[in-house]
Amino acid sequence: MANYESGNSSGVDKVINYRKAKYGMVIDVDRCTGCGACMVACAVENNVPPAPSTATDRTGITPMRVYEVDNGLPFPNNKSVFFPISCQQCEHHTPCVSVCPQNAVELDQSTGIVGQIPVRCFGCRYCMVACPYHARYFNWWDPAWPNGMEKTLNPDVSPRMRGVVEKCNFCFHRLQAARSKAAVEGKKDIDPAEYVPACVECCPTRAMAFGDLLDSDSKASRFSRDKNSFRLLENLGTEPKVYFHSEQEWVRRLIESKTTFAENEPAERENANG
Amino acid sequence: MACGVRTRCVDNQPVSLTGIPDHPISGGGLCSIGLGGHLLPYHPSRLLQPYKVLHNSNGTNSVPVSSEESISAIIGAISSSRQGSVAILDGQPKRTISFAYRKFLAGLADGLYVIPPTTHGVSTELIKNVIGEKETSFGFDIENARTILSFGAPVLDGWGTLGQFSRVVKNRSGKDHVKIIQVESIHSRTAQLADEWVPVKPGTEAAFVLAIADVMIEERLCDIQKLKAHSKDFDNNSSVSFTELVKKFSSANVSGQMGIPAERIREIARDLASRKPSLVVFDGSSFSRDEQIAFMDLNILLGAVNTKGGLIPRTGLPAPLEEKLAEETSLIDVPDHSIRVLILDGAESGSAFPWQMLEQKLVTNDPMVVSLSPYFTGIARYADYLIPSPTYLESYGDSPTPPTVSMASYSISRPILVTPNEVVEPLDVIRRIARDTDNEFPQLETLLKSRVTKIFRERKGFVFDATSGKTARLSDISSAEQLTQILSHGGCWYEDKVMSRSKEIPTRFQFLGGDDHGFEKLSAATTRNSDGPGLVLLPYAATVAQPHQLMEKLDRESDLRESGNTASINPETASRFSLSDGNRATLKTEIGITDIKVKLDKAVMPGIIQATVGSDETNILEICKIENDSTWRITKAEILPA
Repeated sequence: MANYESGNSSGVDKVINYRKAKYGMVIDVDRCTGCGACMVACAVENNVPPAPSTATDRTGITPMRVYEVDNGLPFPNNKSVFFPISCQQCEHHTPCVSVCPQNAVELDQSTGIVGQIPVRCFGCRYCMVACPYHARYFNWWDPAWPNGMEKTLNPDVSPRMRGVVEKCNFCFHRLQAARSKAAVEGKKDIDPAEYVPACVECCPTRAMAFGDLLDSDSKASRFSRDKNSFRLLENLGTEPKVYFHSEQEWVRRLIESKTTFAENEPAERENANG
Repeated sequence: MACGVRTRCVDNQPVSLTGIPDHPISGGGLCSIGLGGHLLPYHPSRLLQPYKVLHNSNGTNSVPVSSEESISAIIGAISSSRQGSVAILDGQPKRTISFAYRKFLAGLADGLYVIPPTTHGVSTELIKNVIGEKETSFGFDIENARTILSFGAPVLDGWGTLGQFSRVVKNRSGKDHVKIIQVESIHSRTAQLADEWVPVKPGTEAAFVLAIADVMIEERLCDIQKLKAHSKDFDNNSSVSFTELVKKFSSANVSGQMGIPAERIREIARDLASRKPSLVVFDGSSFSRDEQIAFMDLNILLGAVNTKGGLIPRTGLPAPLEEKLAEETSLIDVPDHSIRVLILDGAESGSAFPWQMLEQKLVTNDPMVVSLSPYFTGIARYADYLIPSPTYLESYGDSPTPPTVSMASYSISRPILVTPNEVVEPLDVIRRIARDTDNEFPQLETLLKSRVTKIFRERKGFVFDATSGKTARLSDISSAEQLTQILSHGGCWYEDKVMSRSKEIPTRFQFLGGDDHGFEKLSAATTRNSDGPGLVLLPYAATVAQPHQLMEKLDRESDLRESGNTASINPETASRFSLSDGNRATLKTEIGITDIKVKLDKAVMPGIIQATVGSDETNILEICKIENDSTWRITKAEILPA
């Protein structure tokens, strides 16, 4: 039924124009210990099924995945850090959006969140090829849970079916919940504390900061502008909205370099190049 | 471990768990295990009814039985007149159920209450003994330390409570940041992330710590007069004092043995002395008692006892039962071949140990092993009877002070889920076994309330209310019922830390462990020799707990953790044995053979095989040699391409 009062035909009483935001995240690599809590929290929150035991690092679904990165030096001078990697929410020429033939991937201009719409996806996986961060995953199996475990599913998130691609969407359902709450309370905008993705919420070392990058007072915005903050594959020009931060020079240097090998290992570098 | 948990329920069904902000133990977070705790009731290894297990050469065959049948069989075994004791191994002593076990065992002529050598890597008794304080337990005030010298303790990978861990990580940044020096042969997660990794040769940690002590004494980096005044064996002008012992371990003398330059040892000693508070922590499950005494000695030299950022005395919790209780006996003090009935409580001690350590305590002729674990994993796989207990969220329980924490605390949990029909509360098992005796065992809920009432009557400390997020003095709580209500809704009682620190303790340090042969034993602890042409197998298990299904999946589908029975080897070592990355190989020790997957890792020390202990696979542990001092972390090994 049309809402004549509001003048729109959607049946919605009132169209709320939320303040434009650009949600982003800054991960302090120096604080990440690779505990994996973010991976678990993400999987629980988003109803990622346990998957068959034959699933591998290529066929399994890990929308948030922690990678170990080291300085390449041999014993005893090896040092490591951990990089939690999810969808980097590219803002500019978003590669997955541009290749999708089904319009199953959308960059929401009002939030900056790159969303994946499973019912439109037909599983061509172009987006997986296009993603520079390998942050997209294909559902190779019907979602299945051990007997009884289906009762533990989060009612706010639909499980995805076999044959579609999925990825991190900054727990968009939490933003919707925060908006609903704000609407019920008669507020125009959400309280920033009401919208935090599961991975950020659970991080025991508080290595992740999340917020509106357009809000110069938000911790995420301030942290993203720190001289020691950086983005992955910045040279591609896709303007990802996930930043990393490290006070360790070797970490920042590693990201700038084209290879992952230490500078003082010429032999290995030669092998890698040739 | 005593973390406050907030459960989101839909139709009384938990769908997610989160930490409780400002919780005094967890600091508000949850670990990767805790975040999926609500999935554990549906774990594929979950047992939903009792089984009798038949072990034969082809493996095991489990036959479903009723709880009556299995309990009758246990009663029969207990009442037989055969030689040997009836023991319960309790992975987490000091819980309320632990006191019920002790009461039950005290009622038997041959009852034995056994605790693991360490709980979460800590032996509270050993620490008390070295400090010379019989009555008071000590916890690690690691969050206030400025320098942490860790001997294999996974300080950045699950050691202590989540609150301790998160505060240590937070303290790593800033001007006056904490410095973590990790001493271990394994390239562990903490070794990877520490400010300094000191990769000593396997088995030389005690020599290293005594070399540090020698520098500190020689360069007067510790308060010699005070130490003399507080100890009989520090420097007593005899040939068997601590100062005489460390003289044998000058950095120049032992540097070659450890593979660490003498100057680096000196620098670390000076660092510890100048960047105070300094604290030595260690993974007690990996070291012998004598090695742990040596580590504690360094804490005393550093002035870490009864000091902020050091080892802080904490009060004990009241016992829920007044009756006669069986004494606690450490597993390593149980004579070999002396247990005829062994009941394994389902709680995990947080420390891996090989089944052989238990097996050698059993009588050779037809012992009975009963597991009360909710899962058919780990040592439960060796049991003759499986009587599953409720799992997480299904029963009442309590969490006494975690062994690493420097202030006493107490919290209780109440069930959210209904226990499956054939699953039996451990207290019910004990009650049914003991029904022919005069012993009476109230319900666990009643015992918990009685313990809370005793805490309430002492009127000390604080109470954190998870519902309001506020903390109040216990003296402001109106009744024991109100305290019970707060605690059963995610709250926590904890003692006044400042008050406990100000307590004067009449310390009489026992540098040589209070043993007449301590001098010789400490000397011997430094001579564990892993040198030689062969390889050394070092099993690696950071934390030991039943993982939930998603954790198993994520470990399998990412490179974050090595799966069980993966051997990380330096490429240089691997090339000597014609091994490549991803190869299957056969690992052979004098104890046995197992199949492993090879992973080349240039960060690993040459000459060692760093093998992961899986969550339910114990193959690596099964081929580890148990030494006379009950350690099993270093085993000579051979590796062959499969």
